[in-house]
Amino acid sequence: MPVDDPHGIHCRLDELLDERGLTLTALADRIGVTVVNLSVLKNQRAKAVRFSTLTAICKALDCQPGDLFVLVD
Amino acid sequence: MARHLPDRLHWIVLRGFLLLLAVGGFVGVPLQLVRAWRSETLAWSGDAGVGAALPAGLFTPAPGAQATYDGHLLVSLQDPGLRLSLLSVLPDALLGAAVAIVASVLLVLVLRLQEGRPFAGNGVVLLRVAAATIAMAGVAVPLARTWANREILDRAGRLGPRLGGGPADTHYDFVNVALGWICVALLVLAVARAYREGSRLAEETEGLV
Repeated sequence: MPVDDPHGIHCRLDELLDERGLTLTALADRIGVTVVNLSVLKNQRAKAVRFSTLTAICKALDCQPGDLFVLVD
Repeated sequence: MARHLPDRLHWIVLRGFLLLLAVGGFVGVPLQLVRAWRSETLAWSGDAGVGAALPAGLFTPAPGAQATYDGHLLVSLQDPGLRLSLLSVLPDALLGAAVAIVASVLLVLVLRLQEGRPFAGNGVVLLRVAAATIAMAGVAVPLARTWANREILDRAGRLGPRLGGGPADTHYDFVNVALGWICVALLVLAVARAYREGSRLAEETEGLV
């Protein structure tokens, strides 16, 4: 099945950070991912996410991958 | 900072060398042609394919031509004419143009590599241009040199019976000369193919976090 681009995935990193009172820089420091990469994710410019990045974010924010991403029309 | 100095020095030396080759080629070729156009004497030297001394009767100079032998046959022609003058510099002009083109391509690729975006832009096309240039120069330069040598020797005098194969520079050796450069061109084409794959992968991983 062909993969459509652009995709319909919305990243809720911004909301999750707000709920936990965290900044992007603080999260980047905790999980060892660059602010630039997290910014790409937060601003909906990411096209793919490594499982290792996803694991680190979910652990740091104490959430599930499903909390981080939602499918929008 | 001091640790990065050798790296920066490498880049500077590499870029400077390529720039020198590119500019030297693009400026040198027209200069060579102009000098050939204005020259009244044509000097030619080549491998006569014989031993330490020129055998008597191997080469008889024509009027206006002088020939000496010191292991190589040295021929000097007065008033060679525009066609022969330009023909005499044609091999070096072709080689200079080819070197300038390939050096320019490499310079662009090196600059992109230094900027950390090696697969940006039309790198594949540039490498294909370099490969085509190398292949064409590999065939054309020896061919032009053989042609020029024959024309100059024909004008300069009469070749006697050949001993040990006669003047080696008047034979076009495709297998030993051009084939080697064609192999180099094929190698560059293979790099271009790898480069294309690299570009595809870079495109795929764009936006990966």
